[in-house]
Amino acid sequence: MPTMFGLVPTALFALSVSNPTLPEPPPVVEYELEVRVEPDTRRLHGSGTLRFRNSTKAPADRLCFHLYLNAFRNEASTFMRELSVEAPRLELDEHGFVELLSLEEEGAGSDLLANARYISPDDGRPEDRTVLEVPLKSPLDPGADIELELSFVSQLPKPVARAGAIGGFMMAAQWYPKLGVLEPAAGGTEARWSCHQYHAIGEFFAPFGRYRVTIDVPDGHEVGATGPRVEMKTSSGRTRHVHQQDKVHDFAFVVDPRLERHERRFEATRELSEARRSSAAAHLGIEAEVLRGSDVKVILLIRPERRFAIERYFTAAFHALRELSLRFGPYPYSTLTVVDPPPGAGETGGMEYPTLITAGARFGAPASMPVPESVTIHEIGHQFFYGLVGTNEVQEAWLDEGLTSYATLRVYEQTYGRTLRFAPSLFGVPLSPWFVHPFEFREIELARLLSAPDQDPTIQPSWMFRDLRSYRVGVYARPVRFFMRLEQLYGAKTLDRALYRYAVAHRYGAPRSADLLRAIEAEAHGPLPEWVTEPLFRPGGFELAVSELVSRPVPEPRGIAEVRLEADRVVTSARTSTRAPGFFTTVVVERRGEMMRPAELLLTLEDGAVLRHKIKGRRRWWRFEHQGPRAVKAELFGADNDPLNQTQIHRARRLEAEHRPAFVFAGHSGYVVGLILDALRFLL
Amino acid sequence: MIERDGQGMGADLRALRRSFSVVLRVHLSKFLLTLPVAIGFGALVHRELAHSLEAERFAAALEPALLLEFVRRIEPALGAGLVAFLAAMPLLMLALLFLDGALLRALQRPNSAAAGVSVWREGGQAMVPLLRLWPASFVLLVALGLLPAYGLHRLGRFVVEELADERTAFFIRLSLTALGALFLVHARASGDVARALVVSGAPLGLAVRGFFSAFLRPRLVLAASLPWAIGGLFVLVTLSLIDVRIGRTGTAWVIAGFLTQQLSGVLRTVLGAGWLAAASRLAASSCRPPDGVLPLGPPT
Ligand SMILES: [Zn+2]
Repeated sequence: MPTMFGLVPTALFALSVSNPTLPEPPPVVEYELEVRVEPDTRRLHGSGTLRFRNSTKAPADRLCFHLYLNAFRNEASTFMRELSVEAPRLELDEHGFVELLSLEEEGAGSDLLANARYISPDDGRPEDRTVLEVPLKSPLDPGADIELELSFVSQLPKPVARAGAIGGFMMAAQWYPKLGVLEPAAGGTEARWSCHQYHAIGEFFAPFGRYRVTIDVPDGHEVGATGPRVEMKTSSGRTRHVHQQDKVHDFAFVVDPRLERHERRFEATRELSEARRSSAAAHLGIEAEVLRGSDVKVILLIRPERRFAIERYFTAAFHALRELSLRFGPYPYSTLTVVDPPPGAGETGGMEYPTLITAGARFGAPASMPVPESVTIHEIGHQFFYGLVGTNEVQEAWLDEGLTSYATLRVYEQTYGRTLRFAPSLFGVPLSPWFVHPFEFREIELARLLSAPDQDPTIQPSWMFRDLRSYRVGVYARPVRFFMRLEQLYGAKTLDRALYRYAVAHRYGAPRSADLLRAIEAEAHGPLPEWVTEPLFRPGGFELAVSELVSRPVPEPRGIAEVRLEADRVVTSARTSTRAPGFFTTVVVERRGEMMRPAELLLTLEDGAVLRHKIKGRRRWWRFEHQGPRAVKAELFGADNDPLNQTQIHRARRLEAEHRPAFVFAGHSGYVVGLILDALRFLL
Repeated sequence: MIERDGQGMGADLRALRRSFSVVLRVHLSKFLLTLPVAIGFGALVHRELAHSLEAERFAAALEPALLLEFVRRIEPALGAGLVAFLAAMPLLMLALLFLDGALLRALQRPNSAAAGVSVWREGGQAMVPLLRLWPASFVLLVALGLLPAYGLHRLGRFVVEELADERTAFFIRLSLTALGALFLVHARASGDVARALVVSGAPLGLAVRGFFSAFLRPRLVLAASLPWAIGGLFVLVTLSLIDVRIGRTGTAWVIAGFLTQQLSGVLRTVLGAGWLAAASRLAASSCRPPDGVLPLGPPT
């Protein structure tokens, strides 16, 4: 598969990165909505205006809306079908929906809904109602605006995934008719909507714009939402919270009568100190001034029973804001809201929305468990890769999930160390060597990579993954190990600079995979070899293994030496030469996955000599033979510690057998069977 | 009530001491039953890891990626092994019943008759009555032990579903689960009273009545049985925690780990025998149905 993305001259690239003085184009979308929240019915009554600007160079003859809450309308939706076995059955009153009640062009007075229809561009399933296509009366010219007046009603489902309401807690995500992305197509002469159905995996892609939303709730309800609260008015038993935010591509909010609000200020001058900024800038090869951020009000919404997690949340959020700002440019928004979904609403946790994330603390989680820290850091990571770099999650999910997972890993390692220690102890005395096994975070990603068959390429639409397991492999684990491979090949500094430049160049943009790879090539000063990026495009995994190592004394060359004819009789004479000294060694290397990377076989002999053989090409196996001193071990230099290599056990082989692990595990399995027998006896 | 019988836990301990050689032989038999799995699994580890440079690392700590790769490699063998294990289950259950029978018979012998007891003969003699009792005792165990335990567990989940306070929810669930476990232990102990009766020659009907007689005296039965169950749990947890098999790969540590595991096995068998001694004592006295005419004593 071709992976040449063309080498952009670094200088030119750098030019395009730092150009903050260009006049900014007006936003593509401007939503001004008012939503009346009815906790009793879990309904949201919405109305307002939406201004849309055609930012392409071709006219648009229609609009395309996401109506994602319709995924929960009934069991026939694409979303529920894809969830299949995992889908919890919803009672009739637990379903959700969003219904567009009216849509008129401002001033024109014509109802656009008359000709609107639900479409299913991804799977053609007629029952799915998550995408609405609305033909326009007249095409919208490039650069022109259209202002629409709309009203709608939504009902939040019982939490199945992401959005939902339970026990008074309401997580409103994908709650309003949300425009898709109008993209240039056919070389810019046409415009096409990128507006996918709501799938069980992968959901976000929308244009950047301005949101001003008035959330009208009964008194006594706490509200958290995208952007800062700019106004708050109370009258006749209800309170109107007005939130406003520019340069975001979505708006989510949470309403609950029992959430407590805790606020802390992330002070840029202190958190992004002079010293931290200059060392980070030196690492990234930029001016320290660029990393001077502004203050952020961090808001934690959490129920009183979960107060135990408050410090953990704030610490993790501050770490994430600081380290991610120093890696990918300062967090630009004035607020960050962290929501701890209450018990029963766990399905809404672990989600990212612009300037608002949901995490999830756990009662009884020991201090050594990274809950809720890791999820908090991950979702704040999404503020950069998803929020600020607004890639298409449905088409190329690895650009947000993969990059965010890698960024999370780096931040986590930096703040909490490389390993996760889960060591139970009694009065400070560690109880057992058995449990004290530090897990390397990077190894956990490898375990995740091995946790499902390697059957999908990383770059493909989310709904085409075989299942959620395969999605996790292709979009999370493999990209993390891919970035580790880059780190190993080009050094952490080069990779960090490339990711910084990518993040800054495409802030408020929607880059594609090629843009990221181009940014890496620019920093690596050369095209990435095909084998480096191959795992992004092809499934099948990479596994280079030493499958055989035999070293035997050179056999005595017995047999027939001469054949003569003596008086019509065939006479043979035996070979008499003596046995050659030394050993005859055979090594077999196997390529078990689909991928390949050049490597070198290192064969260590008893006398300390090391023989080297190149392993290249796309064969399935290679055999090497050697006569001389006995071999000790065979290793694959280059491939052995490749982060994408799916074997550790067979990446090297030694001649002498080590029996102790077999004894250890024989004893252990016998012990476990003994326990099973005792349990059986008890239940017999 | 126990004191009135002039017995108590001291009697159980004396019975246990008398039958110690039988207990050890029962443990040895159980050890032999575990051998096929141990050897098979050890052979798999040997096949995959003996020549790997990661062998020591593998034995030293549980690393998720390494363990996962190993499981993936041995998956076919593991599947076949599991099928074989499930297929051998009825035989294993018979063997366990046999060993229980031998223990019960040995524990019911008076002082003088304890020496020279044969596991084979005692187990063989107990086997037929135990098998005849089994359907009834299993149904009773499910109905009065497993179902209440499961029901209480589900009830816990149901009760806390709408509860916002996780601390309270946790303790409610914990208490209900503990109560369920108590039901299970009590039903099991009552079942063993019935077993002790049937092994000592009581007719089936009397043994079943013995079950109910015991089940209706929870305080008496639990006071006699719980110490042994708690002891078993304690041994299980503490020896698992201080189990040294993983973490060190030196030969001495490997041996120490093996010995720890064996010690755990022996202690669990001893405590299990103590539990059976308690059941036998209850069968002989308090929990015997009033019209039980059986001269409980040395089996004939
Ligand atoms: Zn994510």
